Amino acid sequence: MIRAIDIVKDYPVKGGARRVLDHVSFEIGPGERLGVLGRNGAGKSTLVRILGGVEKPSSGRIERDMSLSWPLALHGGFHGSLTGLDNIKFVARLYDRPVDEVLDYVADFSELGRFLREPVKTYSSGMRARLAFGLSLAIDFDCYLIDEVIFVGDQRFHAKCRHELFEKRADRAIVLVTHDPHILGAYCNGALVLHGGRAKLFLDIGVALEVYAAL
Amino acid sequence: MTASGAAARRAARSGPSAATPGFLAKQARIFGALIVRETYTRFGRDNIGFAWIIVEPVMFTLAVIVLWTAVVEKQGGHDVPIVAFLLTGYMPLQMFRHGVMHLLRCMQVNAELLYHRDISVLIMYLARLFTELIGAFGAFVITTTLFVLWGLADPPVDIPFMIAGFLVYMFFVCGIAILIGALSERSELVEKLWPPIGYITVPLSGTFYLLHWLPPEARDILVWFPLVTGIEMIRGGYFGPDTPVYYEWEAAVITSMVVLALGLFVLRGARRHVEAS
Repeated sequence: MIRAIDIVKDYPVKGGARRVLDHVSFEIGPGERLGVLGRNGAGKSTLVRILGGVEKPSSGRIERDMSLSWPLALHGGFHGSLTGLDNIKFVARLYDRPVDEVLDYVADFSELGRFLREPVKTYSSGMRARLAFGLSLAIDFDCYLIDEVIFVGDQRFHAKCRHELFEKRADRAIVLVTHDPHILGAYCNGALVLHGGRAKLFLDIGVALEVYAAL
Repeated sequence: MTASGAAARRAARSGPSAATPGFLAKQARIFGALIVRETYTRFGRDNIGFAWIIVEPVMFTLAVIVLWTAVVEKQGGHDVPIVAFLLTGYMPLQMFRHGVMHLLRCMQVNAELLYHRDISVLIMYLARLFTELIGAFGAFVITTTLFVLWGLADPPVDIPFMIAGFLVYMFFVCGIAILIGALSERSELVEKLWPPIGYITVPLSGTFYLLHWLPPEARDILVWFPLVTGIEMIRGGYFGPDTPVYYEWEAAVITSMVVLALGLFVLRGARRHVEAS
């Protein structure tokens, strides 16, 4: 179970603070897949970063009693001037996984081949996405935090991600930031709609999409 | 995946949070992973970077020797072995300068590490400091060995005492580097101000003199500066009992502890100041 309890997040702005999240609470159990919907600037990425522990909330707390991935997005988690291989080895050591197994899995999944020996800063968005996705699958978390922007790249990579994450690991929980009604409808069994700092949980995706469209 | 499999995954992954052996083992693992990463980013995979931190002091020392023999000795220089004097001054100074410099905005610069929530800001700082200090100490050992082999310097006389001096010196560097680093996470001004402050404090670091050469009034003040006491001990150990040195190591350790405590206090809230991209 991952629990967000009464999360408030304020960012300092000129002449005060802007409240991005205003007393947000919800929880995700094993195998649950929660879509996070919201307009630009509604706090979706902030919420995911707070869930993942990248940022601290201004008040409230996160309880995690299952393992939770780092937020999978196009940026963050990798050191640009290190090679893909060195980044993989570092993350494997960090999460206490056998380095060789992780390397093999990521090399196989990402199909990056010789690019793994190049610095990550030279990677395209699609290559970064493949690296991040492959690595988080190799580490094998109970719950994945995913920003849909990571679904860049070609259809084949999409299909592979879907297969690995949504089919082979059907028992894993997922928090997915998305604008895409199709992804939401196909893979999520609940949706959190963020608006004006408040969050509302819908178990019916159709209703959630209607509410979101009406914002 | 069976339920027991999921339970095993949980047990393996969600580490205990108190100061238990499991917690310490986890921190040690994270520290080790960070050290390897620091070594690659700081010195490069090809080790040119590490070679450079040895080449640089060797070149500096050789250049000063040329100047010294051409100018200073003709005017009747001090009665101290010049090469060893320069090495015991320059290498600790590099520890001080690089130690602080590489911790400036360390958290902001490495914001991508914060994506892995088990990495605390403190352990990021410690890993970087450790790499920097061990690198500089290794460079001192190698450089000194080279000069001894070339016959330009005598080997150190009292190595344990010299190392005690290094520990006193490095302890203060840890404290001041964490304090300045933590402040720089909150204000960019600190990062801008540090280079001039760093230069101004060089005379207070004991690099270019022995306290014995100074008037007693100056000596009585400077000996209370932890870096000066550290260098005096390093030199006392290197040159042996024939060279008079002055040090107050207890005061240096206490001062360093106070500075370190301040640094840790400022660092505690630093994570709230990062907006990871």
